[in-house]
Amino acid sequence: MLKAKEYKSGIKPIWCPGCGHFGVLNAITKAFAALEQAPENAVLVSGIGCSSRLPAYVNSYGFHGVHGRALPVATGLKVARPELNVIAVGGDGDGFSIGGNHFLHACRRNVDLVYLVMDNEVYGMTKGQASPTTPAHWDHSKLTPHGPQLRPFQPCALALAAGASFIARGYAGDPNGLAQMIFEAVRHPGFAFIQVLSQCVTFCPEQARWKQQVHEEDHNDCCDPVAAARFLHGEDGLAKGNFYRNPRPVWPPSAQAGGAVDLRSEFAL
Amino acid sequence: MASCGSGGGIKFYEFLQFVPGLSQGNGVAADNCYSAWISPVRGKAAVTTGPNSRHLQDDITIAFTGSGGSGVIAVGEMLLRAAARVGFYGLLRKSYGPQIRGGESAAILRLAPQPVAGFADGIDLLVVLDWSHFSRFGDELILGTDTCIIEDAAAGVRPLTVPAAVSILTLDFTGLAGTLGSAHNNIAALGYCGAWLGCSAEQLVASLNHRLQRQDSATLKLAAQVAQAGMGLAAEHPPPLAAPQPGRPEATRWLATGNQLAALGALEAGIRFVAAYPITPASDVLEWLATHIDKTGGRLVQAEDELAAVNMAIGAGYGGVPAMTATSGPGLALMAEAMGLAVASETPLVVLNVMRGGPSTGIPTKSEQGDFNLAVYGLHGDAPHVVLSALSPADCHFTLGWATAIASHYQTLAVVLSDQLLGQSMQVLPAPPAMPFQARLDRAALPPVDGEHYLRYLDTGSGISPMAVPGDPGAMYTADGLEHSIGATPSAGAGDHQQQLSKRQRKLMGLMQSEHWAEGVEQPEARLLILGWGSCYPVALEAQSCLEAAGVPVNVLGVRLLAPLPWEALQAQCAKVSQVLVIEQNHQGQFARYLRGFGLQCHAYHRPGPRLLTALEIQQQVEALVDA
Ligand SMILES: Cc1ncc(C[n+]2csc(CCOP(=O)(O)OP(=O)(O)O)c2C)c(N)n1
Ligand code: SF4
Repeated sequence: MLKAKEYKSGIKPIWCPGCGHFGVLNAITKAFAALEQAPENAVLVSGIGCSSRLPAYVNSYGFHGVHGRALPVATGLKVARPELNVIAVGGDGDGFSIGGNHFLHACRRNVDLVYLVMDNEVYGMTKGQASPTTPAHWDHSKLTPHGPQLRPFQPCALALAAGASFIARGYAGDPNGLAQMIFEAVRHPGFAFIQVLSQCVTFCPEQARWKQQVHEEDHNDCCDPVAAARFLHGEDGLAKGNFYRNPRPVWPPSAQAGGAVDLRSEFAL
Repeated sequence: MASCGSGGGIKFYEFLQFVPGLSQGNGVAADNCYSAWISPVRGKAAVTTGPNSRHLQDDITIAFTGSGGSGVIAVGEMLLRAAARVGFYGLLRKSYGPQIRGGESAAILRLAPQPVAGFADGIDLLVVLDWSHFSRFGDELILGTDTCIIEDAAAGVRPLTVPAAVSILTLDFTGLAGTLGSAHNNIAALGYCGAWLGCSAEQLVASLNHRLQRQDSATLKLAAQVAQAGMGLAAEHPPPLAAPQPGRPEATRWLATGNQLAALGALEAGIRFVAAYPITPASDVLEWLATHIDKTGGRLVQAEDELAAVNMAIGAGYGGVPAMTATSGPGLALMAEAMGLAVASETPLVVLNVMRGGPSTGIPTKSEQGDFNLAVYGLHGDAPHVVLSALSPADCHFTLGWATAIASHYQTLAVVLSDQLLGQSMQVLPAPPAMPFQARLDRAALPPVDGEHYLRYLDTGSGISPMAVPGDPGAMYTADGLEHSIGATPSAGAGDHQQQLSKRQRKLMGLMQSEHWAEGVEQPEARLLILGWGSCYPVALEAQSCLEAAGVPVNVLGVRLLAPLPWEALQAQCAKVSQVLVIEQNHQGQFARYLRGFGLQCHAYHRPGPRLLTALEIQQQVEALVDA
């Protein structure tokens, strides 16, 4: 049995001091300790971004791919190796912008994965551009000097509409609560989506206020999509808690038995 | 029979069997590589003078045309199957327009007593069920003055472009089927042609049953009656053309398309994960895999797009499960970024690209070889990888197997270029030998430990690093598209970058040892080499036969390993002759430019599809060069 800190790889994160992603790293290692996760049987898969650097910092297997494609890599790996615990991680730009299509289809496909998005409402790695979850009037980016002027995405509502069977929101400032959520997401059969409010201290210093603003909303027992939708369309985006849990058949259905097969006879004349 | 001989009548897969074990020397010596030379089976040669002068008597080309939905492709396939049972070898290609239903459609069938790898230039017998869209084929269907035409009485108005001198027989296939209560004039035509080729009623009915498996018994019975009526018509009004003679082929022969053979080769070599996004003309590879991979314990996922498909395959490959995807040009372009990831992270990945006319949506149902540049040069950064080309429909099996073994052994990306012609052509072939390749990760030295860490990207002598997979205890690492150190830690250091770039390049040099890099046929006293790749290779063999008949011996080489190119071995082949002609089916002459980049002095002949390169035009190019 490993302690939480033994799930850290020892590689020093490149993150800015105070970055929310540290809290997420801590939560993952705590969850692994609680799960008694064998390090060799867990794989963290990511795309590109500050947040996507996370796999290298965890003492498990990891795959750091290209921007936006963590979910397809994780899907291929899990379908090919169903016995592994596969967790995809990344940022809001990675997951909702360039990788947005994969997000929808992963929710719908319901492969037994966890997808954890560190949402800081900004592109941290490329130095502060607006992302799909940036507030409409946030005018700190030179690329959108008047703000994006677009309604931000609602990732949890989107996940619900697309068919995710586990939806929760955590806060990087509460690693213990987040660890519990990750624990449950891993145990959940099917696609489990966790949006994590994970502040970017460098490009969105105003997110320091999240400490006061984030509030608990427990909908632990909610398995009614209509009730979940009503809640998700009314809340302020800063609620944390389990919002929806409704297990449905996992894809792919049970594993196939392989073996010696005759693939040739159909071609014989 | 039309225009040109049976040079394509090479026992295609067979000469792969004759290849001795891997040459152990430096592998670039031409003698090592070419112990597999084999001469094509010769026909009775005479001097060729024009596009349709029939100088060889042992093969025949039959084309069925109609509108899409008139069932000409089905007739072609059924006739090929029945003719194969009589003892013919053959090859069938399908040509159709972009319409989902309706539009033009043709099945072109070449039959011979010995294996056929390529098509002849002209058509001996043209069976027309419907003239209405015929002109849309343009010069894709070459009619000569000695082409015989059989037209259905209900085929409609014959276009003015049909040469006046051809012999035309009008037969009432539609009426014949109608008297039996059937709308299937195509099946009457099947019976007619089948009887002429010597097929028995049982052989034709067996073909019908095979094709119409899902139909009810009343439908099958009626179809059999229509076919037999067609046979009767052949007795009364045979085509004004001598029927070809079948051969005495070996016991086990197959009937399969290049796409099916590619899929089979992949599974036999160990592919157990496939990610799929449909695109013509690669969809049938994916569809065949979808109905067969489960039996092997593998999995196929239909992805949301090609970006997902290639990344899913990478995920499975990282997990130690041999994985592939198949696509066509536009899909390959979408996959390009992740192909670079496979190279950098050293993840085994096979991508089959069945080429069609491009760029953009281009001419999606027709064949072309325009993706050479994309496959060879299309990756970002310095990204050495492997590009192979399949040299015939039968060779798709071998080449996919080789690609699968290469991808896992070298932990890299192997792209296979096929095309619509190879992929969708159906070939009668000797049953392929057991798959000689298997996917195998190099896990021998696992885990090398430098005190405590497993070194995933260790710079070994061969450049191939020991690859752990999730589940292996004590070897946890993060595979990375970021440049990294030997221990897989992200690194922006110049030294690590240089070392890993060199390692990834050096590991592929092992391929220079392989005798599979090309196939070819040499002739004594040859002064010129025709150099091609992919579906041009059978055309070159065909041209070689024509040229031999015309007294011009040439060598032919089809390159299977396009990248990294075994340049020294290729040079040795080129040094045997005084001129080299590079042929390919694309507008820019992409392969020739590539070879010139290595310093090859060559002539180039190339043009785009959809009109296929013909043996005759290659022959004319060669004759012009030899004369000059
Ligand atoms: C194909 C491609 N386009 C663009 C980029 C540049 N890029 C790197 S990270 C990134 C955005 C990262 O933002 P996010 O996913 O929100 O993660 P964060 O850095 O905020 O944690 C972009 C656009 C890239 N690496 N690849
Ligand atoms: S830029 Fe923002 S997201 Fe990136 S490491 Fe710094 S604080 Fe974290």
